[in-house]
Order: sequence, then C-alpha cells, then structure tokens
Amino acid sequence: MLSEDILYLPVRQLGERIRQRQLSPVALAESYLQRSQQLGPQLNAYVTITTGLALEQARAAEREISNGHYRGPLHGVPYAAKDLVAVKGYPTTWGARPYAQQAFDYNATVIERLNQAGAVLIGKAAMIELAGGLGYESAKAALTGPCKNPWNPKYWTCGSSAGSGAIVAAALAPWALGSDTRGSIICPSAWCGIAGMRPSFGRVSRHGAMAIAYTMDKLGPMARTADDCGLILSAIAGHDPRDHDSLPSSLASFTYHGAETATGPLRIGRLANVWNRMDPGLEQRLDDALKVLEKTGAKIRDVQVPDGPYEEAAELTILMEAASSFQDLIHSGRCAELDDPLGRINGYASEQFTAPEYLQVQRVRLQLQRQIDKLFEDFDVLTTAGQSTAASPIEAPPDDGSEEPLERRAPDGLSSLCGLPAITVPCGFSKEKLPFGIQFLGRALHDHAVIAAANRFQAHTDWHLQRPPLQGA
Amino acid sequence: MRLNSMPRKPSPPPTVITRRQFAQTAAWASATAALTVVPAAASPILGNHGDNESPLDEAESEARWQAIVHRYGDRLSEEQKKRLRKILAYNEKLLTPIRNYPLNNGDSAATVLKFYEHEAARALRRSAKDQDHDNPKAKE
Repeated sequence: MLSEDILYLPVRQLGERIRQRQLSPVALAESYLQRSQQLGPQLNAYVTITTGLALEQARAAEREISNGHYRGPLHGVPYAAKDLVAVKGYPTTWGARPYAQQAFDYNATVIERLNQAGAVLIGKAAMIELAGGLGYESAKAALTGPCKNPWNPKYWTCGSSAGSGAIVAAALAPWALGSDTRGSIICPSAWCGIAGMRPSFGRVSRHGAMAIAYTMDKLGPMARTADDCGLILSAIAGHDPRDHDSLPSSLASFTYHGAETATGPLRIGRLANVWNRMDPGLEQRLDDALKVLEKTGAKIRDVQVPDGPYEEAAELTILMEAASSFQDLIHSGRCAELDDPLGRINGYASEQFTAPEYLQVQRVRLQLQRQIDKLFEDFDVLTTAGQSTAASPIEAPPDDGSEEPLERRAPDGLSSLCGLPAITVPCGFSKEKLPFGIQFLGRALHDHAVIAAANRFQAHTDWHLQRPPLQGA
Repeated sequence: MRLNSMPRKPSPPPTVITRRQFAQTAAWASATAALTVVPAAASPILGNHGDNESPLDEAESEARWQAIVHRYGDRLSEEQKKRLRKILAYNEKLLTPIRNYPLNNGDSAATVLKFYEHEAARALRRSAKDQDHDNPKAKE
C-alpha cells in the first residue's frame, strides 16, 4: 500500500505525478480501495465499494497514459460519489431503505463527464436518507448507520453528504462528489476539515441524480483544497439538455487554469448578522483567518444582511418541492420504511401546501435574490463560518426543531435560495480538536471569486494539511 | 426539523406579529405610502417566526390535519397524528412572513432561478465578439 503521505496529497499533485508517470493509477486505486475496505466500515462511510469498476478504470487509465493519451488532471485519480447519483451496474440507494435495491441502467451526466476525464470511481458514499429531503432529526437517519467523523468517531460528520466528508477527511479517496440543496456540502466539509464547494445553481447537470428540490439542488466537489475544487468543477460543469435547469453553454462551462488567487485587492464582506450564536473559539479563528487575508492585501468590512424570510423561503421551497419529488413514496405509504421518525410522516404535511402558497414563496424569493445580489456591488466575496460550531456528538438528542425559533439569515438557506456559489475550507480547531471552517460566498456565477479567495487563504495557512488521528489506519 | 443539511441552533425569541396586526399595519401603510420591498434591518411588516399561532392559522392547520387523517389516517399511529399537528403548526409559522411580505401585483415568481441580467449581457457580448472573430466578413 502507498504511504499515507501519498494518499493525503491533493488531486493536483496526484494528477501531476500520474502525468509524469511517477505514480501508477492502479497502485493508487488499490491503495485507496484497501484503505476504504479497512476504515470505511468503521466510519460508516460507504454504501458500496466499486472494486471491480475502480480497477478496470485504473488499468484503462494506466494503459492510455502509457500510450501517450493523457486526458487531464483527473486522469487516473480515484474519487467517491454520493449514493444519489446513478452509476450503471451498481446500486443507487439514495441512502434509504425503500430504495436499497434500486439500480439504474445508465450513468448520471456527472459520472459520464468524470468517465470522460478518466477518473476512477472507487465507491458510492453514504448519505442521510433521501439527502434529508423529507426531513430528519438525527445522524442515525441513514441506511448505513450514522457516519462517524474521522477526527473523532463519537462525533458526526454532518449531512447529508456525510460519507463524502468522511471519505476525504480519512483519505479513503482524494475527493468525493457531494450534493447540496441547503448546506449539504458546506456543513460536512466544515465539520470534517476539508474543502467543499457548492457551485452556482445550474452549472453542474443533475441528470441521473436524485431530486429533492428542483430549484435548489446542486452537485459539487469535496476535496482537500479549494484548488482541487476548481480543477474538479472544470471537469463536471457544463450545459446538459437533459437537466431542464442547466445553464446555457456560455454560462455553465467553467474553465480553471490553476491555483488562481484574486488579482488586485480582494474586497471581502464579513457577514455580521447571520448566526444567532457562534462558538467563541470559532469567532477567534475567523478573526485570525481574516487577519491572514488582510496581510495579503484584502480589504475587509463588516456587512449586514438585510432582514427577510430567507430561511423560511428556503425551507418552504424544499418542503413543497420534495412533496412532489417523493410523491410516489408518500402516496404508496413506503415512507413508513424510512429510518427517521420525522421522515416517515413529514411528506403528508408537506402535501397540504397549496399552489398559491408555492407561488407566493417563489415571488418572495425573487425579491430576496435581488436584495442579496445588491450586497455584491461592494464586495467580491462575503465570508463567515462554514458552520456556527464544530461537529456535534452522534448521540446528541433528536432535533425535532419545531419548537426552536428559526435562524432566518443562516448562510446556507440564504445562499442556496439565491443559487450562489460557496466554498468552505478549514481554518482551525475547537477545544475538542474538531475542525472549524471558513466559507466564502460569491455572486451567482462568480465561482472563480470564491475559489480565488479560498486559494489565497490556503496559500498562507496549513490547516488543510492537518490529518485526523485515525485508529487502525 | 432538519431538511437536507445541518442542525439548527436555538436563537433568542423573535418579535411576534400576527396576521391581524400585519393587516392593520399594512392598511395604515397603504394609506400613507405605496408598499415597496422592505430592506430594513428589522421591519415589523416582515414579521418573524413567532411562537403564537393566530386563530386563522390554527383553523387552517386544523383543516390540513383533518385532510391528512381523512386520507392517510389508517396508516398513522396516534403518536404520529399528534406529531403531525405540531409539524403543521410549524409550517404555518414558516408561511406567516411569506404571506406578510409586501409584494406588488406584477412581482413575478422565481420558479426557476435565473442568472442575473448583467451576467446574461456579459455572455451575450462575449458570444457576439466570438462570432465577429470567427466570421469577420459577417459584419460587412
């Protein structure tokens, strides 16, 4: 097996070594597979390990590269995909018992694009059932059990791209595909101490991926660095006529040339009123992070998000659209087979919303989108914590949440509602040695801006080089 | 409740405004000035996610609960039915600030998120430039 030093390398460096034929794609795939088989079950990180496919793709990559046909930086590099994207010949369970035997006879567009890039799929990552589409109240709402945080297995990874977060943090693969309807890439990336990017809405095709909320679902990369996220996004972005919400080619495509940092003074707005409460240790780490950026010439000012029912609109949109996405599950009564007590019944309540109510939410949404877009007239990116705390314990009591007041300006709801790109990268640790993340949000379609800001931060810090103290590795 | 991603943290009790209070405020506002989008930091018109349900909300919530029990009652335990009442009450609270948000008749819906106009214009300019570059005679 290759050393941990190799397995923790970012995609860019792995790709470069493969290109120069210093690293064998087969040896690399075998090492990640072995590590995945060893540590994956301990973390509940995978639904399926695709050994046969991985070795076949790795051998093909090795053959092609030996023959001088190099496809690009993902050629021969392994990855895992959240188990809500269709992979021909393998189960696609959506993390949920009613779909445990489900299989598709085609690949999702994103998988096809990665096949074209020569990437090597080593497994389908565990996830919260239905990606939380019908609601859930604990980490245990998953076909494969609660996903354990590699930094401390008593703590959760966050959801719903739970396995994707654990896989990257534990170096079971150098990157993983996640999905994000309202925070499902950002939260697990922050809690697992990795980089995670939610691209602008419409950049990455969702054809062949499970739908929750048609107007909010996004697919995106979770990796070791922001630079890796840029590399991966350039391979998976692009127009797809099979996804109705796919942006036109001129806007969907994403070209990324390297470890870009913003040119000129970077204007950063620090979101001053989005969390009701933040871990004091995290507040300090954010201050430190912004000082680092200031030293590089960034101009930082506090900015207030104008009032508005962002969280309500985001939550209602998901509830209403999910009642349609999962109509068969609700009508058939098979939602009773879900693991989570809330998920079993929530669809019945969501079905009661009316069409005028849905339209009203969407009319308010447009106003909120315009309101948020205006903030970017003064800033290149906005910044805040990836999450307001570090990871929570797996055994935390069920979060029914209905008694709690809403955190109405929470950045995940706000930015997902507006289709904005966001990225989180690690920025320190809590007292319990659990990772904290800093996130950058950009104007719609300004994906380069968030990558550039995060690149700049990572070029001057080494939080992303820290490794979790895994037992049995 | 969690949807899709992350745990929610408790926050301080917000200001509560009922639909009736809103109606009074809106009536006063419309008598004095046209309602426009309110970007203020703490607009009473927007209301908040309060703890109290108005009688109207309660009645609506009850009607929805009855509809669920009528259609799916035989599938649900008593505990689940009880919980559905709480979920429906929560959903009403979510709807309150949406109903109270000041909109004009012509304000359209973001049923599908669209990229912003300046991005579209930029893309069109790029596309036109590319066409000119590819086919310089086309301009003549």
